[in-house]
Amino acid sequence: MIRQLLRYPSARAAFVILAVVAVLAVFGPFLAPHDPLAQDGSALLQPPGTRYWLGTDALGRDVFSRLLAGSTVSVLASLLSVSIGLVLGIVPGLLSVFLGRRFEWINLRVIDALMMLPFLVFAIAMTAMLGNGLVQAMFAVGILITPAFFRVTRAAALSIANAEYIEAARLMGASTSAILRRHVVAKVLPPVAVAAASMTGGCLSIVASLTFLGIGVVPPDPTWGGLLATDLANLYDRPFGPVAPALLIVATVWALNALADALRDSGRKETAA
Amino acid sequence: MTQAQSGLPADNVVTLDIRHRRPEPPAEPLLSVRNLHVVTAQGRELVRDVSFELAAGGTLGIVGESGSGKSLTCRAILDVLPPGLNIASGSIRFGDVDLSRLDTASWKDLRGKALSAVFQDPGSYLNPSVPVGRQLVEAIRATLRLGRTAARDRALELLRQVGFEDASAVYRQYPFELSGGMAQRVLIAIAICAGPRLLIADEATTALDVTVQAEVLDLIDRLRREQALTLILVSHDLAVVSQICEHVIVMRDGAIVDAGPTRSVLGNPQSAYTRSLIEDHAVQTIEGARPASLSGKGTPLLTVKGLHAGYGIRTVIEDVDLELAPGEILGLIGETGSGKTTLLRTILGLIPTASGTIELDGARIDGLNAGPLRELRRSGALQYVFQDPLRSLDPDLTIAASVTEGLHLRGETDGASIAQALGEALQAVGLDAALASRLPRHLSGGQRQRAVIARALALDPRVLLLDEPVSALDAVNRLHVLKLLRGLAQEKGIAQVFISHDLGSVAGIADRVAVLYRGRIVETGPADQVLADPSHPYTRRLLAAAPRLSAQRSEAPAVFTAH
Repeated sequence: MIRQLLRYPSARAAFVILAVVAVLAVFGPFLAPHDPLAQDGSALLQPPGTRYWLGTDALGRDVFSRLLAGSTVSVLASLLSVSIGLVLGIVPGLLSVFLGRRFEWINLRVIDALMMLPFLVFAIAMTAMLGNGLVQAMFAVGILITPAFFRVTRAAALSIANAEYIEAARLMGASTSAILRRHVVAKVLPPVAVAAASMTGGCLSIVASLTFLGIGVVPPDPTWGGLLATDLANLYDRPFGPVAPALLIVATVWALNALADALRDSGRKETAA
Repeated sequence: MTQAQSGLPADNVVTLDIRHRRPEPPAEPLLSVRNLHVVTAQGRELVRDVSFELAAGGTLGIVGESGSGKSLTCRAILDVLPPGLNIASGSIRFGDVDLSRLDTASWKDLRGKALSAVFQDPGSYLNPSVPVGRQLVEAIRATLRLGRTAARDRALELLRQVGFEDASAVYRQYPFELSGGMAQRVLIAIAICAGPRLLIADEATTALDVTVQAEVLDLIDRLRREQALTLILVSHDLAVVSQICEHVIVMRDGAIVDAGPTRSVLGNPQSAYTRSLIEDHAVQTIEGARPASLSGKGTPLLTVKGLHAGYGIRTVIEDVDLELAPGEILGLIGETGSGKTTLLRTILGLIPTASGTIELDGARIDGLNAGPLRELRRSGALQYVFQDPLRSLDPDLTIAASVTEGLHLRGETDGASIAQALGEALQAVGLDAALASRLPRHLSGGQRQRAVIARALALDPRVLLLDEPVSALDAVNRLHVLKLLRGLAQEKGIAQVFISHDLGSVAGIADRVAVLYRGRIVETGPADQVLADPSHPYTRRLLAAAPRLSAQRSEAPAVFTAH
């Protein structure tokens, strides 16, 4: 699987970027050369230099260290929402195909309703109700991306629900759960993996958007989106400021999308063979 | 003509006068294939050194099992090889054009016009959301530069030509409203709309019922004569080809093993393979004595009495009575839509009965609740074998996993006994144990069907319900599977209900035959008697429509009349 993916140049690049991001996410806070919260009153809004590699912000905090320290939160947050979306999407997505019409109808209506909700507004409302924390915000995002996983799972399951080998299993006395385990899950996972990779990218930008708006993470904790926001506020004094966090967000989102595309293409080629 | 074939000018490739001219004894063949080799990207040769010539107005049949390269040869002629396959060497000349050197633009002026084709599965070549008339008009306007009204008139004329009496009604119908035979007629109309010189019919009648197949073959033959078409008819069925074609090529493993005038190939086959194809076709009894007397067998294993069943308010099965003794094989014949499959599915409990009873070994098995039904199914006493083995095996599971699935579902956990059951089942169907770790797509069609039968055998069944188990197989594999089934009935006493639209298979294997017509059994009796001396007019019609192998084409001109 991985070896097949590596035949795509874009997938190779994506793996390199994601590996760097993973290292940043795990070790970022320890790699930071300075305390991301420490303020240096003698060096406000510094341009990139030897002491502060990416310069400092309006409070004299090292931007590079803040970027590293913010990685963990940003990456974990998007993984959290994707996990929530996966669980809430896959299980009903499968069961809606195999558990009968009434269950299917209810599920489809709930999903239709979820699809109508606007992301940011819903997340803001959730944090307003449940408290302004990252977990609350990402829970909201997770619920909102549920329809994507539900639909991908359901479509994949529908395409094989009437397969003769499933009928054959039923004729040998297989229960629905046995059929799901033996015949369905393995076939549903590849398209879901594609959706998960591209959704992780999507969530990363949503996290960035939310933290940019100050939702989910409270200052002074650093995040990629939060850095972008403060850099934009000081655009006049540090015009190159937003470039570093923006590049990091763009590169990661691109890598995840490229990975999703490669996953999809390799899956398609395999079924064609 | 010469000028038209060179592809320039583009607007008139087909000179229409060709259709009114009977071809004289040709000096130059219309189609000439020389030393054709088709290879995969990995260099594997799928078509090896194929050469033949076809005179204008001639008819050529290409026969072979799936994978013999017969379709690839035709696709090479049409330049529509599947991706990854290429012509490695050889030449294909059509008139005086070298088809293997043609560029895409020149192909546009040839394919669908002078060169045309009809394929196996007619439904998949029609757009389901567009009425067939409009699709026909589209084809006409793409090939002949006609105005809307003229194209419409031509479409109606073509529909009448392919045998639709009410052409204007068909014109407005959607593809899903047409039967398989009707859809194939529409595709034939599309194929001949530009007055082609060469028509390739690639398994064009394979998916159809015998009676419909006879009609469509008759149509192709009539059009060929009326329009002086040159025809290549590809089929796995030697009988089909021998009815129409003057010349025949037998292919195996990508190479020609026999070729010549139909009469001499059939009368004096040069290769052992051709001989085996001819022998398979003769209606023959599969070795092994049949139960001499069924009355002496004691109580029947499976009893169906007064069965009515259907989908919703539509009744498909009406008042069916059946009895099946241990070790007996009952052949069930009838056209598509006669209720054969529905009857089997009702017995399996997939369709609820409206009235009547089904008993297995004296115990009722109709109307069971979920619990007892699952228990019955896990016991494995009643097993179903599907028509298409590729679709009835999970493509992601190994053969071993599929064959032992029922044992696992039954709750057996002892690895050694499961492995033993697997080995016995594979041995019983004659499948190499080394294949157990393969995936279904790595097996041939015949091996797959054996794996499906092994899956049923692993559960130690008493009754096998077989729905067209051999119709997806070529003649050689068909014979193997039929022998296998016969042996199972004889040695293990497994009773079988055997559905097939191939009467030869039924005649070869069944002890008794039941004829199903519109959901009712109209005739039943010993196989020899029903097939040799049918009493019901429907049975007679069914038997008359079956293609037979005849070396003397002229002796049997009436075989392909429409019914």
